[in-house]
Amino acid sequence: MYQRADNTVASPAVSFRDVSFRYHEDDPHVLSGVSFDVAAGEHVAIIGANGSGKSTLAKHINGLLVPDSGSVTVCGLSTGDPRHTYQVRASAGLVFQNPDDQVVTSIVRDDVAFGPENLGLPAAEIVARVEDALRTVDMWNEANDDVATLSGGQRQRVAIAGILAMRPGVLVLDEPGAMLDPRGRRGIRRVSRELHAAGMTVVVVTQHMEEAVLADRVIVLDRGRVAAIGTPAEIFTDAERLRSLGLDVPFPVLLGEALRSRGLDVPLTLDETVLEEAICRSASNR
Amino acid sequence: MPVRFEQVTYIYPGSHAADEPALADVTLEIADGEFLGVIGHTGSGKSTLIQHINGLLQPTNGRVTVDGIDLADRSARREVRRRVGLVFQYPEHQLFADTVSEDVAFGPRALGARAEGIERCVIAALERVGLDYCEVGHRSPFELSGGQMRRVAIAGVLATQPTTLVMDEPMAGLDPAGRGAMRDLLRALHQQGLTIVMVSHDMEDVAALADRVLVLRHGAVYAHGATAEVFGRHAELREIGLGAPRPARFAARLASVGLDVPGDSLTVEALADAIARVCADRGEVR
Amino acid sequence: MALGQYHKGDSVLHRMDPRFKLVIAVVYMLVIFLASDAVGLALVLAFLGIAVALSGVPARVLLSGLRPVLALVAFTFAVNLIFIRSGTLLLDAGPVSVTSGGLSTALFMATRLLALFVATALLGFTTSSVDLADGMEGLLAPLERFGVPAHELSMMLSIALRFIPILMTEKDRIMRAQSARGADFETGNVVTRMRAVLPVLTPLFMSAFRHAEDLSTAMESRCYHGKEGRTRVKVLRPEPRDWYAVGALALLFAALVTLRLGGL
Repeated sequence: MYQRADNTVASPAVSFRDVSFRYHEDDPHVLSGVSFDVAAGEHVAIIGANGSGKSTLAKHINGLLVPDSGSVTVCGLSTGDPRHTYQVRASAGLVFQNPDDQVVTSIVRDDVAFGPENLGLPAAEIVARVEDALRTVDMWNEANDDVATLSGGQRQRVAIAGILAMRPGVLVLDEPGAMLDPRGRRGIRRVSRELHAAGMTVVVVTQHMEEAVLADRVIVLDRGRVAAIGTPAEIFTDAERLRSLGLDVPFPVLLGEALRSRGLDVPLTLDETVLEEAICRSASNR
Repeated sequence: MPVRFEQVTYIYPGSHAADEPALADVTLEIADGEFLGVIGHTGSGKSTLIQHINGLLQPTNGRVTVDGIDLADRSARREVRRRVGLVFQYPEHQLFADTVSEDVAFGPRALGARAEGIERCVIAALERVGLDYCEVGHRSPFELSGGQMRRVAIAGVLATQPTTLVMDEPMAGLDPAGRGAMRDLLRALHQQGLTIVMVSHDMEDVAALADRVLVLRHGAVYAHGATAEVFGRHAELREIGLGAPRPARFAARLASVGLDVPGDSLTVEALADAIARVCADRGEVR
Repeated sequence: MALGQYHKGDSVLHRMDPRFKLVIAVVYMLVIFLASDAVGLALVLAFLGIAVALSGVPARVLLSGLRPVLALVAFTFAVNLIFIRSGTLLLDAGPVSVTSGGLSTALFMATRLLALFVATALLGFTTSSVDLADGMEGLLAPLERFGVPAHELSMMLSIALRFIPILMTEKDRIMRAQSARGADFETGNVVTRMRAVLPVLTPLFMSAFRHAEDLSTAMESRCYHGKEGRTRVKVLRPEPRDWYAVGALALLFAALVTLRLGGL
C-alpha cells in the first residue's frame, strides 16, 4: 500500500497568497487575488464554472505556471524559485483530464517509471516504487500490458500511479473523471479516497458534485476569484449562491427547497438520510 | 415509422467467434416525433446501435429501415443521411473549414443541394442553434469558444434539415450552464418536430428530456418503454449496474420505509409534489 | 492483427537485447538473399523456424499477421512463374507458359519474400515499442559525439509509435462524423477520393497538436527535462542468448557463402 513521503508534510501543504495570473498581456486576468491554504492531509475540492480558472489554478500548484503577482508555496517551497522547479513538481503531482495524453510509453510499468527516471533515482528504487504505485491503484496485474488495451479508467489510474511513483506530498487531480464513464469515475474516486485515508493531501478540481461533497473543504472559483471557501455543508446548501455561480445544486438541497416551498418542514441538508427522516416525521406528525 | 430495427445482429469484423456480438437480435421501433433516451454501460452496444440508424454500419443479420427505406440499399443511403442527422460525442472535433458557414455548408453540399439553397440552409441551421450568421459565419470555427464550436457542429448536421436527430452524449464535457443550454436546445428541437435519439450516461438528462427510454445490455434490449416506467424499475436497473435519476431513487428509499410515494417521479418538482401529497393525505387520515 | 503488432509474452525472443534483435533482424533479411539453392534456402528457413519456435507466438497469430502480405507473395510467385522461361516446359497455355525454371525461381522468390515478412513480423511481435526505442537509442548512442541526438530521437519514436493507434482511431471518428453528414470516401476516382480526405486532415492535425501540447505538459509535470540526470530502469545488457543468436546468424552466413562458392 502507498507509503507517504518520508518527511511528513508540514502544514500548510499548499499556500496561495494573493495570486494573480494571465496568459498574455492583453488578456483579462484568469486568476485575481487568489488566497487560500490547504492543510497537510486535507482533502480539498475546487469547483467553478468553465472559465473560472480552475485548471489554471491547478497548474500553479505544481509550478507549471508561476503567478504574475503573489506567491504559491508548496511543501515549504516557493514555486516561483527556479531552483526548486523539479522539487515542486515532484512534491505536487498533477493528474490531468485526458488519460491518453499523460502516458508516455506503451507498457504500463515502463510508463510509471518515467517520473522516477526523470528524478535520477537508482534503478532498484524505481522498480520498488513502480510496484508500490501500481498496487496502490490496483493495476499491478496489468503491469506488463500495452496501455492501448486498457480502458479509460484504467489508463487514468496508470497516470495516477505514474505520479505516485514520484512520492508527492500533495496529489492534485484536475477533473480526473471528465472523460470517463461512471464506472471509471468511481474507480478514480476510490483511489483518491484510499490515498487520503492513508494521509495524502488531495486537491481535486471537479465539476461533479458527488466528488466535491466528499471533501473536507470546498473552494469555489468565479471568474478567477475565490467566491467562497467552506465545508461542503456550508457551500452546497446555499442554493442561490450556487446558481448565481453557474454551479449545480445537489439533489437533497433542491428537494429540500421544493418541499419547503410546499409547506413541509424539512432542514437544509446534504444528507439524504436526514431528509428522509424529516419527511417521515412530517408524514406522521401532521 | 421513422426508424425500425428488425432482429438486428451486428458482429464487428475481426471479432473472435467467442466474443459477444455488438448487437444481439435487436428489434425496436422509434416513432415519429419521439424523444428516445438510450442508456447502458460502455460496451453495451449504444454507439453501435446509433450507427445503424443512418447506415454507417450495416447489420450482420436483420434489417434496419428508416421511413420505409431499407438501409441496405446503397443508393438510398444519401437520402437517409439527409433525413437522419448523427451528432457524435465531442462533435466539435470534426470541424475543419476556414469559416463557420463553409463548415455548416459541408453537409448540404455533400448531399447535392443546389448552391442557391445552401446559404439559406446555413443561416437557418445556425439560427436554430442560437448562433447569428452575421456574427459568426465568416469567422474561423477554431476561434470560437468550446460551447459555440459544439453548436456549429450541431448546426452542420441540422443544415440538411433532417427529420430525425441522433446524438451521442451531447452533454459530454459541458459545465452546468452549458448542460442547461444544451437541454434547452434539445427541447426546442424536439418541439419543432424532430424525432430525437439521445445516448447518455446521465440519468437526470434522460429523465428531463426523453419520452421513452431504451436500456441496452450486452448488445441486447433489456428494457424499452416510457421513461417513468423504465426508471421505476429500480431493482432491475441496479442489478445491471445502472442508476436511475436521483428523484426516482429517493422515491424508492421513501417507499421502502413505508411512504406511498409513486416510483415514477422523474424530476425534483414532481417528487416534491408527490411527497407533499402523501404527507397531506396522511394528515387527513389522522 | 497488423503485421508485427506487439504480442505480449515472455519468450527468449521477447527477452533478447533489442539492439541485438534489430541488428540480427536486418542482417538476416540481407542474408536471406545470399541463399542461391535449395539447401541454402532450407538453412535460411531452419533459422527462421527456430526463431519462430523461440518466440512463443502462436501460429494463428503469426498467420493472421501475414494476411495483408500474402497477396504480394502470391503476386510475386505468379509473375516469376509466368515470365521466367528456362529449363523444361511444363505447361503450355498459348501466350502463357510455365517452365521448370520458372517454377523453381517462383518458389524461391516467394519463399524468400515470405521469410522476409515473417522476420519483420517476428521482430514486431516480440519487441514492444519501448524496447524498439531503447534499442534504437542504444545503437545510436555512440553517434552522440557526432551530434546525433539519440535520446531525443528515441523519445520521439516511442511517442510516435504510441500515438499511431490513437490518431488512427481519431481519423476513423472524424471520417465517420463526416460520412454521417454525407461525405463519401468510397466512390469516385483517386482524385475525388483524395479530395474527400482533405476535410479529415485539418481536424486530425488539430487533434495531434492538442495531444502534443497536453502530453508535453504532462511530461513536464513529471519532471522531464531531457537526457541530463535521467536514469533508466532498463539497462541494456547483452546476455549469453544474445551472443548465441549472433553466433547462429554468423554460422548461417558462413554456410550460405560456402554454398555459393562451392556452387561456382
